[in-house]
Amino acid sequence: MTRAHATPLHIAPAVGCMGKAPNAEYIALKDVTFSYPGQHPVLTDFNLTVARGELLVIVGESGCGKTTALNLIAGFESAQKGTVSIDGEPITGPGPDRIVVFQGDRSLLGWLTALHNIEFGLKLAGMSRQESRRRALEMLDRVGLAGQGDKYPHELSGGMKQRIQLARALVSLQRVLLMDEPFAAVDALTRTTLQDQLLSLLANADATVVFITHDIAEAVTLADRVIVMRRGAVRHTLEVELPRPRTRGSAEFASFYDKVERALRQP
Amino acid sequence: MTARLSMRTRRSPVRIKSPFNVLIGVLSVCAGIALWQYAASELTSSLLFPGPVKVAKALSSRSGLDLIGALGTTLKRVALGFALGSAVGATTGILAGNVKWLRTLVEPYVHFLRSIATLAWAGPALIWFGIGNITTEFLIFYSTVFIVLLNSIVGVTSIDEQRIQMARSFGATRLDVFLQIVLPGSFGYVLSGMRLAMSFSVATAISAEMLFGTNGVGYVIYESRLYFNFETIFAGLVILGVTGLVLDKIFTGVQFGLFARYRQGR
Repeated sequence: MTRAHATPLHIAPAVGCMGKAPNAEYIALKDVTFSYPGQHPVLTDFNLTVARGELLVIVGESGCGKTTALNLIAGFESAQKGTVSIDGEPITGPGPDRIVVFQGDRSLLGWLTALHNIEFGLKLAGMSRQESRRRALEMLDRVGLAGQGDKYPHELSGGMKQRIQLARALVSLQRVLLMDEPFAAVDALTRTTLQDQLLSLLANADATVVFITHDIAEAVTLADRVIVMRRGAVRHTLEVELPRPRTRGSAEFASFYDKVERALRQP
Repeated sequence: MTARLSMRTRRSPVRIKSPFNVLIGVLSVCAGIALWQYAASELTSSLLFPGPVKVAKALSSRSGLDLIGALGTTLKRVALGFALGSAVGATTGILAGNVKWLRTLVEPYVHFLRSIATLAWAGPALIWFGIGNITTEFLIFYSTVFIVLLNSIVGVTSIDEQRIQMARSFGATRLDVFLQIVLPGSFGYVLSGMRLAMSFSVATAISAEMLFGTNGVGYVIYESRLYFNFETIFAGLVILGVTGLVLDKIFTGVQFGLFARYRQGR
């Protein structure tokens, strides 16, 4: 699954390449019911599968349960009913095989330089100083921030901070990347740049991506498949059959944009 | 891409003031001294309210030297009680911030005890610890510990949940989260608490020295009133003002300079 034309990403060999689950059900949420304490369930008998290597984009109005679904896959929450699994293994908690890219920039650590933020996951994984430094520098270069590694997050612009977050995730990426509206807080121009950068960084990487957004154009640009959620259920599934690289101004792009928008508006 | 990188690159934590503002600052100090001199020589008896010239003379004389020596004694006292109070406050606060039941256990006592004016403990403390350093140290400790403790609790509890989730998603253990997120993340708050506590602990030391001390700046100032030695009293007050200012500047320098990256909200 090549998404763009770029050099391959250095990626850790995926654990469990000989997966027990069929590739179409690499990530599987089956009959999942989840509610926050004392509240109505956010998800009821919810089903979702993500194929291996797929880039799935979830759209839906606020409160539809998309972030909850992502948090279940990340292992931050656990379902009251049903199963959440990756490659046939039940998910019991967060882990480095499922890297999360968060909304906004609060997850960047203000007391670490950009470079040390990127190295965060590598050091936790026990990688040697020189090796983690080398990889972080390489990744810094790949997200277009070469020479900015010694800056602290507060010295960087919103778009640059999102690049650092992206770099931190990609340098430690093993199998799955979970992204919760990662580009929501940056300006429109920077957003499209970041989308293109994400696609080129993911090119040739054997990564499965779940990406949440409110931005239909972002969904159409990125997705292999778009699902529309509403009130805790998947209402529409739309395969994006546009060739890559996708041109945002093209007629096909516009007509697919319409399709997603109509699906979102449907009661 | 380099075009967009030219934003806030200034690293220096020390704000460089414009020449205009420097001028205003200098003028303000000069005007204050002039006003003081005028008030002392024209409006009141200069015996009871010595002007800056007399105070400066006192400072450069024998009693000035005595005051400096006394300041050393006071600061040594403050250093020990403040350091102990900060250490205990920060440790307890960080623990309590992390462990909900411990926080619930500790908080009512902290709020109760910190509401009691420190000097109100002078009576029992004198009986328990006797007239001497230990009582003063205890009071300085008391005026430091709760402020640092409460700030440390806030520091830990205000850590963004997203940062903890981030670390856990990279495989961090509970210990990793504590060492790499909680400790550095609350450090800025601990420092703020310490800065606040420092001015309290100096004030407590001075008051204790006045109440039952046998040396220190507070003692010298209070003793001087017996001899109607107003020059020394005012020289002592000036020294206290300058000391407080300098200590706060030093602490601010450490807090926003050396440890700027741990600043609250970063």
